[in-house]
Order: sequence, then structure tokens, then C-alpha cells
Amino acid sequence: MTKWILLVLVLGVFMGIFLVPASFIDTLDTLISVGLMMVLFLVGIGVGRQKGLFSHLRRMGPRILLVPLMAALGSISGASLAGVLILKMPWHQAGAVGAGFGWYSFVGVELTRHSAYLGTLAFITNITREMGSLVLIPLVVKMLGGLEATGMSGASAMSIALPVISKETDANITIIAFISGMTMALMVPLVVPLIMRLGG
Amino acid sequence: MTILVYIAVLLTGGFISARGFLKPGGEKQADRLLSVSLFLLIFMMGIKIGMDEYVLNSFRTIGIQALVLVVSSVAFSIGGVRLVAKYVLRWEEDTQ
Repeated sequence: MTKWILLVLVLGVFMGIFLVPASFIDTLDTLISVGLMMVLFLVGIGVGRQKGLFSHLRRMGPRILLVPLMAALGSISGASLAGVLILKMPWHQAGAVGAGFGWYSFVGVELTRHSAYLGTLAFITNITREMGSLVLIPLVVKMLGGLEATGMSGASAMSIALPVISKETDANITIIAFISGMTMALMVPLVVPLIMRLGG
Repeated sequence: MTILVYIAVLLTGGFISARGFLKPGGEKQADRLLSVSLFLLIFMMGIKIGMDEYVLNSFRTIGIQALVLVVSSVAFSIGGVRLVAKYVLRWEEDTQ
């Protein structure tokens, strides 16, 4: 999947450089907005059909939601701090990039609406997070634990990272990983625009 | 305003699916449509990047910035979860 996404992205970049006229930019922004709505609607459909989710949540207790909440808070504050202290970026831009939680397709496109530079940075940062997590999960599980590996994976814990987490941990951590990944994925479309608004 | 629209769209999708308003086979179609929409969005994002000369000339800088941001955000995420695991969830496990 990642391979195809990168291929399509590169194809788009070449189209942008050589074929698409500059006058197309407004139409492109409208198309991106419509596309984002479509994706969110379909993600909502995916979440709505997880019928056993609430019973799992009830069984484990609401405290389990602290895992995604702290992972999200850590991600945003970590990116903001590094952005301000090391990269000399505005806190909200760095924080919004960190708030992608590994959902590179959404955060990349959402921040491209603000600037192509920020969108590209968000895309590369978050795709690196997803791919890096896949590689590092076994190591983090061994050294720190399954919950920490879940936090590291961010939103990918409900999708591409789930089979790896499941293989390296137990059934309980796997359910927590799914709930955590889903919670973080649902937070992305809300938190990224919110941070940009707070800063801008 | 954008956030409210996003919430509304997400909830609408969730409601339609949870209430069983999708036709049989609709879930598979939704999955397929999600993949197609994602690829189209990524393609359009690529076009926008390709049209921006400043971004094209800054790929090296962006790569370094991305590395700094990802290391820091992942480290803080792990730290945050570790706090919860150690001081909140362990207590819960002990009391079960």
C-alpha cells in the first residue's frame, strides 16, 4: 500500500511540475476539500460497523482511553517543543504535524490546504512514523512494553501496525491497540484544524 | 467551522453504518471507495506540491525537519503512555 501511495504521490508531483497549469490551483483546492469530506464519511462508516467496540471498552474500563489520550498529548507536545526549540518553527505548525499521529494521507492533505510546504512536511513526518513504527514495534515491546508500542504506532495501531502488535503481544494489548488507534485516528480531523486555528 | 463540518461528516458516516442503513455488500464498496478517494487525494496533493517551486527546492530541509519532528513526537508519545501504564493502569491491574 505504502509503495503505491508513494508512486501516486510522485506521479502527482510530476503532473504538477510539467502538465497542470497554475490557473488550476483554486479548482484543486476545492477538489481536495471535497475529497477530504468523502474520506471522513467513509472512515465514519468503518468506525460505525465495529459493533463489539463498546463492549470491549466497557469491559476494560474508560481508563484505557488514557493510552490514546496521553499518546496524542505526547505527540503534539513533543513535535511542538522540537519545532520551537530546534527547528525555530511556529509551535502550532509543528504541533499540527505531530497531531497527524501517523495518518499521513489525511494530515498531509489537510495541511497542504494551508501551505504546500507544511503539507509535505506533515506527509513525510507521518509516513516516517508509520514505517518506523512497523520496524520498531518488536524492539519497543521487548524494551518498554506493548502499551508503549501502541502509543508509538499512533493511528496506525488500528490498521497496518495491528498485525505486528498482535504478533508481539497478547489479545488484551491487541484490543487496546485497536481502540487506541481508532481513537487517535478520530482525533486527527478535529485536532489538526483546532491547533492551526489556535496558532493562527 | 471546518472542525464542525468534519465532526458532522464523520458522525453521519458512523450513524449510517451503525444503524445498518448500508445495503448488503455496501461495506465492501465503502472500503473500495475509501481506497480510491485516498489515492485521488494523494494524487492531488502531489500536483499541489509539484506546482510549488519553493517546496521542490526544499526537499532536503523538509527531510531533516521531518526526522526531528518524528523522533520527538514518538519519544513523547511513548513517554506519555509509559506514565499511564506505570501509574494508572498498573494500579488498576493490581486491584483486579
